[in-house]
Amino acid sequence: MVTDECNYQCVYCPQVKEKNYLTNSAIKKAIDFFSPFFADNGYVNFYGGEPLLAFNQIKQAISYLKQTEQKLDRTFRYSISTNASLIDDDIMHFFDEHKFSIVLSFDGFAQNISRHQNSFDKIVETIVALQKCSNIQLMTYSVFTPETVHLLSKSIQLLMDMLIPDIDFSVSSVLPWDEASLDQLRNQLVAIRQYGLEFYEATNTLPVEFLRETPRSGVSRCDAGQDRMCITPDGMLWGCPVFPNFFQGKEGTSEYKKYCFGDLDMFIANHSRIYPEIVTNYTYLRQDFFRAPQGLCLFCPDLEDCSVCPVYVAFSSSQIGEIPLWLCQIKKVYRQEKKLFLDALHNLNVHQ
Amino acid sequence: MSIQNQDPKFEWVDRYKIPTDDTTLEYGIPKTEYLWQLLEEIFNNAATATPEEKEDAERIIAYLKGINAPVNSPYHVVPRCPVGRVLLKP
Repeated sequence: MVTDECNYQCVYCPQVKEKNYLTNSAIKKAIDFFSPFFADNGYVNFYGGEPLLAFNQIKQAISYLKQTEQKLDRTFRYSISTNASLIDDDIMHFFDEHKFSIVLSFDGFAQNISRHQNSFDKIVETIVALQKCSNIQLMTYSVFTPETVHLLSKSIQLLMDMLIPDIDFSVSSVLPWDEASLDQLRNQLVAIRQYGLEFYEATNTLPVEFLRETPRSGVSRCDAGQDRMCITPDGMLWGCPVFPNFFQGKEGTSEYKKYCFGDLDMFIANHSRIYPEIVTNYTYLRQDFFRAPQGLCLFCPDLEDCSVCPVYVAFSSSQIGEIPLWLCQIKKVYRQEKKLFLDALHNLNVHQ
Repeated sequence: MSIQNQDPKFEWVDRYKIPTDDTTLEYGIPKTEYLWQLLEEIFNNAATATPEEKEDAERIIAYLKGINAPVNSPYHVVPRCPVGRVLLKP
């Protein structure tokens, strides 16, 4: 997390914005320590706030990572989660040169309502320009609230028509959903699956994550702290970037101590003691151990078809892994609509 | 030896008739391996679990978390991150 500053104030974003930036010295130390542990298919992800406010730090990090690649005779992959508002030709060229995967936060037709007024046109222009860069992998991520859910299907259709190869969306876990909003959500998902089928017939592709089959092969597990680590602008280490967002202002609490790996220097000096101690707490972040108002998810018949972020739900319930009833209902609606889509897709493929 | 008499928290252990020998108990406390096995049993029969068994599962998990026992759950788990902004595809 190169900075916790952001130039947007999205209505659903739970992060408390400050103006801290990761120092170049912390970046180098983190790369020196962690790079030997990078998996072959792993990524270095730049995250914020809005990470492009720290473009100088990103450039420094890439330059040092390139040197490290040579030293270790390895190749790393890079990605960034950005609102795209600061992308100009130089930054685009930089991303293309270093073969970035870009997770672009874009709320489609809800953009000007939820995120930033008058930002829609600029981001559409940027997406078109990014699509011309052959080395960039592009994915969009959109968030909808009860206020903007009526724009969901139109927005996803827009992104499909723009031929974005990977389109993902979710609903705000911070603002509660009432019955009427849930009904609206269901109608929107119906429209997405209907358009998705038409789109598949025309292009033979399924760019929308929601419409893709997820293998039902086990209980979901959060891999934070196990296959990923995050360093925050104040030099603290966490299992993933969502944790420091949730624990802002909760420093010193017992829950904070369960999930924070401590500051980088302390961790480097004592990692063989600190890591196993803290990571054990992360290994309990599994869907079967989460709770909804009806009880432990272990006993839910849909256990293997459900996956929630234990920290995102905590923004609403205050407890990690505690799922509010309305989110449980949303997940149910998702599952039902997804199943209807996959059945229709199967029938289509059988008859072709 | 009755575990229940030693610590009322372990009432649920008696219900599962844990043999009171060294393979399952250490200092009168159930070994974590044994508790993971119990959880697996409950998981395998989750569809027909009684309210008592559901309560037991909650207590076992809370107990294991409380003593910071390494997770040793035998049933299959798969890593999935539903947060698109963090999701990094291989």
